[in-house]
Amino acid sequence: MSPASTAPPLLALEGLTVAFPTPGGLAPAVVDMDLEVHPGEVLALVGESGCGKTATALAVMDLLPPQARVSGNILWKGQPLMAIRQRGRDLSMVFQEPATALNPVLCVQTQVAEPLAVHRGLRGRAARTEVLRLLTLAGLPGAEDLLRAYPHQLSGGQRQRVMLAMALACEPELLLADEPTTALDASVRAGILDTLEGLGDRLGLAILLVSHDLGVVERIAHRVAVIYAGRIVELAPREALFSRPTHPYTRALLACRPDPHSDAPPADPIPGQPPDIGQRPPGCAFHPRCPRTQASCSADVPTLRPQPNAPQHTVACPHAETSQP
Amino acid sequence: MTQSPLLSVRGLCKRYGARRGLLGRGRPAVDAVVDVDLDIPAGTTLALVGESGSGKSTTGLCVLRLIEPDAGSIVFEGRELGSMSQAALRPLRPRMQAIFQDPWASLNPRLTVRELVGEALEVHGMASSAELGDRVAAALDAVGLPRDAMTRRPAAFSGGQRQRIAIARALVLEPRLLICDEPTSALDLSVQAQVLALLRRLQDERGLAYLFITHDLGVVRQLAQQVAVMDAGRIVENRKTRELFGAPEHPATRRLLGSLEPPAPTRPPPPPSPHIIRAPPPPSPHASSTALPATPRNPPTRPT
Repeated sequence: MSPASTAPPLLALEGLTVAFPTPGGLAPAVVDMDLEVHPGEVLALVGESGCGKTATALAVMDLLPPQARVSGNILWKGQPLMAIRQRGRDLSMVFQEPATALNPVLCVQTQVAEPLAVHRGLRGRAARTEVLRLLTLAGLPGAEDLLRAYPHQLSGGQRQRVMLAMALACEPELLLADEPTTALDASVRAGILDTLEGLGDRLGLAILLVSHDLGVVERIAHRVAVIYAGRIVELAPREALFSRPTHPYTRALLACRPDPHSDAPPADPIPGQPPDIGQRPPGCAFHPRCPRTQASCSADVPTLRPQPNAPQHTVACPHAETSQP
Repeated sequence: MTQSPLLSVRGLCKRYGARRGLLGRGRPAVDAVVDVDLDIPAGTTLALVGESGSGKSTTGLCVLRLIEPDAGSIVFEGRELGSMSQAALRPLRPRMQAIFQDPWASLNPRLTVRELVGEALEVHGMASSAELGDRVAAALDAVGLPRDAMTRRPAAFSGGQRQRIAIARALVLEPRLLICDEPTSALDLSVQAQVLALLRRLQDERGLAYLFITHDLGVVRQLAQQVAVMDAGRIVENRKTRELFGAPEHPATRRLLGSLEPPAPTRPPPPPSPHIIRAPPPPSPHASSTALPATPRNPPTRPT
């Protein structure tokens, strides 16, 4: 249950399609995606490399390369999301690799103060005070001695927190976080996740989390969208997804997660590879690798349908069967 | 154990030298590996785990003498490698091979797969040019790559396929020991599962031994019979996998386990309060003393 299911969605994607031109024609990375993010909720997009999860986030931020073809609607509180300034203010983004996302020749104070000057007109002493407040929010309390530090002098976790402080500078209502902990050690990762979770609780910040790490998703997401070959194949509240995974892809993905808490022998891996975006199989893109495939799977693209007695749990597979993974 | 292990390491040490930097801002010496002992029986897997900077990769490179250790003995198949010259090591090199984390960096992008996999056979004079093609094809078969891969270059392959090429390149020499340094960390979950299944099959079929360097304890539990935990350059716990997961003793081990997400899928939704063991940052390997310092990270173990 999303925390505010009665409020209108903060962000709504309607039929979002992102395609890239290739020598063989347009290759769609994201196909006809519908998705809503509600105020205060953490929605995770999960999937493997190339499934289109990052392209979705970049489309929202209008950060795709110019040759990308985007169609469909991106609505912010019901209105088309147009202005680039709105994107830096009401919604902001943190990236996977803080070492490359930060400017190496600017010190922490200058970097974090930049959005304050651009969007809020804060300068001088007021900006410095605000920078310190933002760093505290991002989990770097009492960071006076970090203000003059350059990115190379910071640890990976500190860099990620500086980037988070920048993203929070304009008090956004939605934070897009693309693999925010992938480059970090396990114990540092736990700290960053605590911080993100705390921001959701304290500021009511909504987070669109892009990750391939099921452990991270399971820790902080309220709802999870599983993406395969550019389409959402299963969308469910976190608990339902992990306890009753239903789409054959979701079930296979959860089964091949090495479980440090069990001596059970590993499951058989999913045969084959995800399709190249230019050569998507017809019908359900997972059907060539699916253990439950039937003749109709290669003909019709399945749509997301609610599960019996679970309207929030939608699955794009007519042959799916709920059971323990 | 009646037989002596395939690999036996005793007292391995490596210190990276102090550097005098510009403007006197130097770097103190770093004890990357301190007095490390390891045994790997033939056909088994030893996992070497620890946080970044704990010295596990340096240990792997020292065992291969790709980095020169400062002290210690490395006995492989009954022969002491530690004191051998690099020239004397060469004939032993095919017996111990390595695969690395990043298959984008470890394969020369300008060589074809046939050249990549066949190069080592030529270097070691292990195959005539007539045999070479067959040996490469057999190695590709063993890792599940199609034969037509031979004429292509790394750019034509996905991450999982590249890691298979790296494994084929090691296998073609018919090694006894593979040092695997985070071989699946850069791969997607379903691809990781495929590569781990391949490594298990190769171990069953060929009796390979693995020194498996990783920070992923889930992978450790699937693959390793024995686990050595490293912290600030030292092995702090070295036990059978099942025992270690059942009752981790050292704080570093518990920290690694504590940073795991709780088990799926029976877990209730996360409570609003912090529910992950929070630890101070790992100790710096700089200026390490001989004993583990009594810090909040190393609280005295509870009396049992």
